[in-house]
Amino acid sequence: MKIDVLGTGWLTPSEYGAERLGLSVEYASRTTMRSLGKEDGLFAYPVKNFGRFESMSQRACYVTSLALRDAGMEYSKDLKQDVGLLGTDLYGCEQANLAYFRDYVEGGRTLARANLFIYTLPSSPLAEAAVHFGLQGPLTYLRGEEPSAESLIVHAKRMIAEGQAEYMMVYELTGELDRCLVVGSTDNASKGEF
Amino acid sequence: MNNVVFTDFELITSYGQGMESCWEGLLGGKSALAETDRFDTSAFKSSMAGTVPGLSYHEGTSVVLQMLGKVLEQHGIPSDAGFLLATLNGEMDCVEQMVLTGEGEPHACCMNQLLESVRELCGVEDKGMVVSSACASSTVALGMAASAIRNGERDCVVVVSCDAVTEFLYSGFSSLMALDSGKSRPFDAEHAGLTIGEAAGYAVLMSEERAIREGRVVTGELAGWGMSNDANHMTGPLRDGSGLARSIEIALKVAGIDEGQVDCIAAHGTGTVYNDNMEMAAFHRVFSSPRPTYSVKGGIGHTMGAAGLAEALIALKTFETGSVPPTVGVVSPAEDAVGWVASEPVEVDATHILSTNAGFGGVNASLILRKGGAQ
Repeated sequence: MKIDVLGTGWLTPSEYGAERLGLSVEYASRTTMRSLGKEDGLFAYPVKNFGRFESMSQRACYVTSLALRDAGMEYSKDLKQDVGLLGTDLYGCEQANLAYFRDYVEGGRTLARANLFIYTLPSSPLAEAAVHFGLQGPLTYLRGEEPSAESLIVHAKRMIAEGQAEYMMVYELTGELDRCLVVGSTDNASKGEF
Repeated sequence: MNNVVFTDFELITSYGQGMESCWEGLLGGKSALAETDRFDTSAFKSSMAGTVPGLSYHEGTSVVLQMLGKVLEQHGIPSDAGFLLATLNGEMDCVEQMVLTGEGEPHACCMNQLLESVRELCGVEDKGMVVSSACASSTVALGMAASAIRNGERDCVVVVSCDAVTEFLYSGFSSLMALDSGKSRPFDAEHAGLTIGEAAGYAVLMSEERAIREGRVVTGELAGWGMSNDANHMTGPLRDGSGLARSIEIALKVAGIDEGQVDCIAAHGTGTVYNDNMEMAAFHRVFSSPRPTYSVKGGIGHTMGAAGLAEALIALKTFETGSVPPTVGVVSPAEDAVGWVASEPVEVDATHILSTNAGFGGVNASLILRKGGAQ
């Protein structure tokens, strides 16, 4: 079984695209990143509570959608798929941590906001993508010396080879360039199984 | 393919330093949970926590590094070991101080900083990697380490894990209404929430071939691992248990055994109604008959990302002693746990133990531990 990258979605503060499809769209001159999903129809169906997501979770959803499209993989509201998620970034959920605790302190250290607390895990953006796209394989955040998707592919390939999932989504969420790579067996790709 | 064995480990919990104090406490049905004075809990539903005695808070070194300083003091970690650090979110007391004082360098509390500090404590050459998968972090890390060894990419990996009781976490779980007002009582008919605990530890995993060659003492084998996601909700588990069941099925497959060969279960058992019900639903799905099942969280609390490592190490004691610890805090098991969960130790000559964890974001992870390995 040969396991390789089957599709890539990407997003910058001004453009988004899909590598295999040769898609590259400039959006910053006409809309905001937050409105992109709705205005450009990036999702097959609305992402529940998308407006309440913190930025990294929104970006994770965008690149997931683009990567799935690039790999020719469909998704729907009622379909769960054997797809896992591995992701890395620069500083974990540092901004979410500070936002949550500042809000709690400013509130007198008595009440905290659950909606801020749930983003104080570095795996939360991946989890939001898993919930929306119905991805039920392994899900974990990894951070090595360098936050690169390429450094995670070895783990994704091993997980596929040992049967943890059929496909793995590999994320690099840096803000300047967010990427999501779909990793899977090229046998499936050539058979048109997705 | 290489068999993967445990050759060295250490653990610190609210029972104190070392596996023996933890094991004796659990086996004796004693809880190490108590009211905490680490921060003001008067606004919260609970004041209970499982804290390690003798640690300072907001006085320099973070709680997780204090714990790790103790457990890694006399470690036997080979310098050529691969290195994985499993944590929910690292040094949250560092974040607290940064907000409360308005001081601190940007990114000083990030997990890659902690990774480097722990690497130095371990004395390993590998630059390492942080593994964060909510409350299944260390279970996932153990699985990833075993996978690398089984496939011959490494012959030794150390998994270090830690998480601390902090105001950050406490207030967050309080906001989610997840805390029991007293000590948590996993799988009890009156279970009403979790109690936050803290722990740190490490496990050295090695290929059986290298362990034999180096004459290492082996305490058990990590035979299988499985991971899955509910793809359902950020904080609530899939109630029918199918998500966790999926990870158990994968772990059984990787181990090459069937459900009938599992002798007992070291469950996640947080004490929340949602988790405990989901977990029992998963066990009922997978197993054809009840197995002795326990949670350690009535004893040490929910130790977050470190829970899986602590549970796996405690499970190894069952191979050594033939005893399955009771679930501390259980008076009368919940209806779905009757015949599975006990308030007294059970004698079992176990060959295979299942250890399970689940967490926020729908994460599930399971391990199959096997008795023996190289001697």
